[in-house]
Amino acid sequence: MRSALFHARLVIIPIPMIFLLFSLFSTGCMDRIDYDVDEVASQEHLRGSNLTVDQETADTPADLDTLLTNESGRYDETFLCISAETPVETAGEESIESENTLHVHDVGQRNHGTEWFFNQPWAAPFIWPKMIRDTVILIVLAAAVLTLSGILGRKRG
Amino acid sequence: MRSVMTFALMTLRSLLRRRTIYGISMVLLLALFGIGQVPSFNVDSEGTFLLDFGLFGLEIGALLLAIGLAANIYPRDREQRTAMPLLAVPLSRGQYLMGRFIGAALVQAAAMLVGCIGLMLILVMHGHPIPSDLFPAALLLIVEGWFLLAVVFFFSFWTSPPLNAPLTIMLFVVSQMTVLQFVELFPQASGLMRFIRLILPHMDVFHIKDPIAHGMEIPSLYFLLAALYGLAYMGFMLAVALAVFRSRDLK
Repeated sequence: MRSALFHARLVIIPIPMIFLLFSLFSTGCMDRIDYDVDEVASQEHLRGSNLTVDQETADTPADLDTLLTNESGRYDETFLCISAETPVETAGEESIESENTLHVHDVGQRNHGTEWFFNQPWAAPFIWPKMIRDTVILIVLAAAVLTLSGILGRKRG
Repeated sequence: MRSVMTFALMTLRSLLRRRTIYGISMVLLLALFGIGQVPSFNVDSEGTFLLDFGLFGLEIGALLLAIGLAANIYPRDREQRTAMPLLAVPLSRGQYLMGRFIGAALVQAAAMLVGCIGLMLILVMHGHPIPSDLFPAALLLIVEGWFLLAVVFFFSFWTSPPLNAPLTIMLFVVSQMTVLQFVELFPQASGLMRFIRLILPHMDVFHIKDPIAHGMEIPSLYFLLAALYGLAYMGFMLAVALAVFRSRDLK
């Protein structure tokens, strides 16, 4: 009788824990389970870098103008924030600038050079719920491991 | 709990008698002092450089301290047969592990605090302001150190000390990788690699040296979440370490 109860506990205790784990996985805040900012970042988070790349690939002033103008023909607020990234050109340096594509970014702004900086967890609040999820999973797993190893240890002892 | 704390204080005293802690702390402080001696040539970003390299040095110091403190504790107890009388009557295996861990964690925290104060002194000596986020950053470094300590304890129960250090360093390096970088190590089995990366810790959550060095503000909530994540992973590693320890035959 005692042995049967012991084996029953071995099966019964992990079941709610496994169920809890699966439910936590299924209610993930993002499509992907793991959180790599590069993978799960929304378009909104990446906007600065994408626009910058587009802007840099624009060859002519006409392309730039099309890029910076929305459907109503007015400059969009979002695009205006990167207008400071246009090449800095002075009369005496024009030839040098055109060869080196030297340009200026606003301080603290996301762009092609600072992408790595803003793709760190502290700067990506959309992955913070995943950190909470992982914290809960780890606590549940730790409890499961402790319980099982305790039961198995008593069985051996 | 009382027996655990008594044993933790015993561990603390025994660790303070060893030269490892002083050696690593001296190397850490010398490295910080060396960073402070790099000529700035009046460049404006000298403070950024000091903070960036200083916090990086402290993180590496946390790794070395964890290995130096904990890799030998259990193997030495087993070799000198001090573990057996302890586990025979006064302590359970869980209490033994917790006592050893708390003792080592106190030493690790004290060493990290000393390192942080050293970094602050260097900043002040060079006329740079101390960022307000440096204190929470020190807290995160301590949590990271405790997590690494739990990893070293886990490895120490089933590997030899010479193997413990490379395994811990390997885990430290791999845990810094993003999912994409990790999958690229063996792209033929991307599903398996993704699963392994999911289990491995995300040590990038402790990386806050860049925003601190560049004077950017970090939300307080983030510090709390990162610390909780680190503590949860530490608890999980200790649970697995205890499970391995419980299955070991000490005879």
